[in-house]
Amino acid sequence: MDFKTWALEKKLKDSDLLFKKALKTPLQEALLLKLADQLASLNPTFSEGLVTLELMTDLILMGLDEVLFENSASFDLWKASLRRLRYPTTSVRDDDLKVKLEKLPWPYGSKVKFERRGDRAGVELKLFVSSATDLTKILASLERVQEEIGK
Amino acid sequence: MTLPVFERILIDSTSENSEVAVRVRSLYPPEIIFSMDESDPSLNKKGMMTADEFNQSKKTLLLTTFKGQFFKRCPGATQKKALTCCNYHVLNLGSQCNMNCSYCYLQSYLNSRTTKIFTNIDQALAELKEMADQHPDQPFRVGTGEVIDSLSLDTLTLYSRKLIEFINQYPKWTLEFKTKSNHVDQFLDLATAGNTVVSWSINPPYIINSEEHGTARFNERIEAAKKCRAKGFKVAFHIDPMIWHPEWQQNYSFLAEELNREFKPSDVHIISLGTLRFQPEQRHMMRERFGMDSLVTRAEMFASEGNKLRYDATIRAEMFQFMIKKMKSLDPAWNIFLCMETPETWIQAFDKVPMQVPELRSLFKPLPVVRDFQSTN
Repeated sequence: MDFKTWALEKKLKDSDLLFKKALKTPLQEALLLKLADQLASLNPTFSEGLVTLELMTDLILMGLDEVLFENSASFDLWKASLRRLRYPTTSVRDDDLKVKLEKLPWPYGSKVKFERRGDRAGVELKLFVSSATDLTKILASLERVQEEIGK
Repeated sequence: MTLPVFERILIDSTSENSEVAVRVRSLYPPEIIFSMDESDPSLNKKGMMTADEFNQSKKTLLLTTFKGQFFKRCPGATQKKALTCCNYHVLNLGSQCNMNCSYCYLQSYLNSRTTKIFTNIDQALAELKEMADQHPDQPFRVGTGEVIDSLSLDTLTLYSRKLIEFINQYPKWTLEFKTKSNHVDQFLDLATAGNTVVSWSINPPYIINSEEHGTARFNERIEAAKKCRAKGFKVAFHIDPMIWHPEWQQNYSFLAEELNREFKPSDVHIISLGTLRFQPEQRHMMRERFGMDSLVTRAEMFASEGNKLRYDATIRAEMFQFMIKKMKSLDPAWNIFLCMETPETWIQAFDKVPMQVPELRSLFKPLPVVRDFQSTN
């Protein structure tokens, strides 16, 4: 599927593509169209497609070109790679924080997933509790985590 | 006196005989001044502006009367659930700005195609008087720099003079002129009751030079502040928005050291800190107007509570902590607070919310609510 077909299918309006107005040269517009065609071939959702197109526009205006096609065979990998280009400092900080947080002595059996939610990064913690004893152990573990974080 | 540059000046019929219109006619060439009917459709076009229309709105001045309520609470106070805001009130005597900062929030706020000066200042003063007469002993703080720079067009209006004379009668009230200009000479001959604060939004020279186009340069702002201090006016500085860049620590250190070298804490009413923030919809206009070479458009911004885009919360806390520590290390007496920030960030920066900081408590103490002046008009 090319971008034109994807745009029709998703009922895209001109006002959804306001960010495109910042492109100043035919070369920049042609590059975005080429990227948009590749993106459409991966059939993202309406909102994921728009967010990615805007990210691409920013990166084109920042002077990037061929590197923008790296990892473009998979939508998730491509999106991650574009985000790293657009948010380089935050990406490095998030990587460091992820390692630091995942090393903490979380309660046995819990599931820890690093996430960025808007302007905050942290972990989502999933716990299973079946008795008061479980809860006591979990709270003791979490106290150790708190101590580690406070160091 | 260097006049602000406008390509066209429009005077609507309601303002034709105003003091400001007479003054503007005496200062600008007649070929750029046009009388307009208040109902002229070209004056009333509304809706989202394109980047070109926004640029043009800075070059067209409209003298008109304001039909709404001049005196209001600061918009930050309406987001009490998300933000910790001080009791600031605003008096809007115009809208748009003749300077051009890349991060300016007016880019997502205004929908009028002109720079407006409201000529009915007497009505604004009447609103202020009614409130001030009811609550003369409450510490109201009133600023005129919300949707227009307080002083950059003051050489045309001379409103500062009327406002200073007014506020002198209410010593418990504070008037704040907030500016990025150095236009202060027009009121320095007036006496002050010590309750007029002239404040500068300030950044390190590197940021001023790259992001604050058409504003007074760093040294010009410092010199203007020194002139005000010499005449007995209180001064204040808003280090806002702090803009992250690789050398931010060294540049903001320089700013702190300069402020500390030129002023004593007792000269300076307050120093407020804020980091870059803007409404998400503003990014399109900024990208179109400034490209991606600006530190603002290139910034790594994320959705935050209250929906604005901000730096990562940890970076904000680092920037605040750095600046507070730096200022306090130069002199512990510096009085610093955060503008439009969340309670979490306050706690990270100060270990406290403002009501727990003795020197800030009075700023954040609830005040009587401003009544709706329009409802009785």
